[in-house]
Amino acid sequence: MGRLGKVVAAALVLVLVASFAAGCSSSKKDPIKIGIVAPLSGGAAMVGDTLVKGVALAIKQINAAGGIHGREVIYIAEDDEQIPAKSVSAVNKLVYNDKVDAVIGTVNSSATLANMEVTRKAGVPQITPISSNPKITKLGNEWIFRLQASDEHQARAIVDYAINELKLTKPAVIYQSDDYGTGGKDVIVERLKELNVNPVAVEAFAPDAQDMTGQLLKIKNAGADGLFMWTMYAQAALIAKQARQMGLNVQLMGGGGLTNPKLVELAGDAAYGLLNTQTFFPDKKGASPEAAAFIDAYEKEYGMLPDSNAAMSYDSMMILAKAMEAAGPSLDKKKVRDAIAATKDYRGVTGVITIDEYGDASREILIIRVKVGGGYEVVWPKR
Amino acid sequence: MFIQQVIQGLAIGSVYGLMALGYALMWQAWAVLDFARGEAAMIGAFSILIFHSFFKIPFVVAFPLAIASSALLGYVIQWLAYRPLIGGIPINRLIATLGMGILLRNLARVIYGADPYPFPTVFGDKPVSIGNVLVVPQNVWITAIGFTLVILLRVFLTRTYTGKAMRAAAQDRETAALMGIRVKQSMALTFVLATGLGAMAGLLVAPVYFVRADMGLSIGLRGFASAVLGGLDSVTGAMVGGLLLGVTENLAAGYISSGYQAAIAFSIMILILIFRPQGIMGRRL
Repeated sequence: MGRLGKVVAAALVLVLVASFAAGCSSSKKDPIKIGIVAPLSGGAAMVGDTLVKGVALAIKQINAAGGIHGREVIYIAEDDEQIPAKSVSAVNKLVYNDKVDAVIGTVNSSATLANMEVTRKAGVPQITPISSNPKITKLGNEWIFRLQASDEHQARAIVDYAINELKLTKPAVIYQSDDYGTGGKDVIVERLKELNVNPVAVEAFAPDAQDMTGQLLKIKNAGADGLFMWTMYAQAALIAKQARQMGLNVQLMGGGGLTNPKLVELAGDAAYGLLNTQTFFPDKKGASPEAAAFIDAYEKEYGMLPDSNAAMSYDSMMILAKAMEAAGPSLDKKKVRDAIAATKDYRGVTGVITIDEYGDASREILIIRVKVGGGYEVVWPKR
Repeated sequence: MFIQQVIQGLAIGSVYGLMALGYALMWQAWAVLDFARGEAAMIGAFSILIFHSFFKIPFVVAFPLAIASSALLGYVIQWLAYRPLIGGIPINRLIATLGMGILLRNLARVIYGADPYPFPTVFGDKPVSIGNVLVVPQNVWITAIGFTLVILLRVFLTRTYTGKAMRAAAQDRETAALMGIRVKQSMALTFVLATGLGAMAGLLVAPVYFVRADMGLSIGLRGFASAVLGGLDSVTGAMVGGLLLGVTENLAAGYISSGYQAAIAFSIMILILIFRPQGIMGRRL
């Protein structure tokens, strides 16, 4: 990771130098500065890396199209190692030393919750591409926006699909007994109630549990015809395997935490057919024209497929750019904020985005299915 | 459903029991609660993963190879962190085991990452139905191997000179030394044995619960609880404690509330210990 961090840092310096040189020669106007805060070293460095890549690609395309109000856009990236305290220092530097016009970041929800206080006090608009903790947009901070669908939206989407499309009548729920799992379970149970469906069993398991057969046997005995699980992919693989062993052969369903090639690697054929929510999926065939163009451009630029994080980050920068255009050449930060808040039906690469009253992107959510043999296909919305 | 729940409980309980054997052994020879026991399982699981999955060595060869290399690593670990503290107060050794556990866990995470690795099933994971009860072959194997090891260990500790020397060294180091027992060697041997047993547990669960850097934490803790429940000075007790904990956990999830699965299992354990502080099979302290 250390070496990767250095490579990323070196690349950033090069980009900065290059864009600075370009700025000097081509335009007398100061560039517009975007601050990026992301984990560029440590355990989440890979995620921070795709965040920067997504924003950088958007900026490259914006500049190629003439910049914003004729001004060039540059970015300054700071590493927060996904530590809240470091994240606060990083945003302090971006806001007060570099005097950035807006901030994009970060990954870890706890770090975002800490650093968004800095932008709020300074009155600088901030967009977090993927921090998913519902609290971020519920604290009354009007300077923070989020593009990732919160767990609330995702859980409702999978329930609606199961009941309305798959016509399940006796679903069961299994969840890991922490904030993430319990939060998801609550939304699922509530949504089922709204649709007049009673879950036949609602079972918990400890986040470090390895053996869920007790719960699964109970679910089987209750005669379930489908199973919602709110957990991450590793536990989901255990559940899928053990359900198969216990003869519980029902439709498995879950949230974005399940999307990972590891799921099939671990669970094998027990994971085939599993359905889960996702907001972006790098599949050119099933993609919208916007997404397909983005996947092409990203692959050409970096030689790899974008993940949902890169796509969210790309959309964050594009929405920011649009808001800056709308706010007028003064780039008054309050006006930029208002323009982001007014985003409606923006056709991004991660879907059609509307910012709601809390600063959350309410958006269409995809349902994807694990194909036989591995890989994913989009099953909803039908195209 | 009741019988099925009990069978599933016995399967996971055998794993707890295997882990508990290591705790009991370490308690008997080193007079220490060794909180790095779970990491022995992790080392065993990664060893078999490396030999069998990465280097493609056939399982029958990779299996003893993995046990041997884990035991060897166990020797190095005890030489580095445990042996220098033999003469010190027991709490120092306890802390050394905690530290070693944290070190090994994080070392594994740095080297192999936090994601789990799959491991192919060796004994078969397709259930066989007997009446209306489903039995998974690999679970039967885990239970059978667990019981075989308990019997072998008992024989070893009570019938062989080396085994008796181990126990003597734990009870009274100085007297044992006066009787001509090479205490440090004997203790090192127990450590190697305990690590080998832990590795065996890790190896057996790898196909069922995958291989991950932090796998030792949860099964290690359950193993510790099982050993205390069964009686730390009894290897049979360790196995019985494991099975009891496994079955209680599964019945708690099946019949009371899965949200309180661990809470119910551990409450029952505390209750038993109130009436039998030395554990189910332990001798009165």
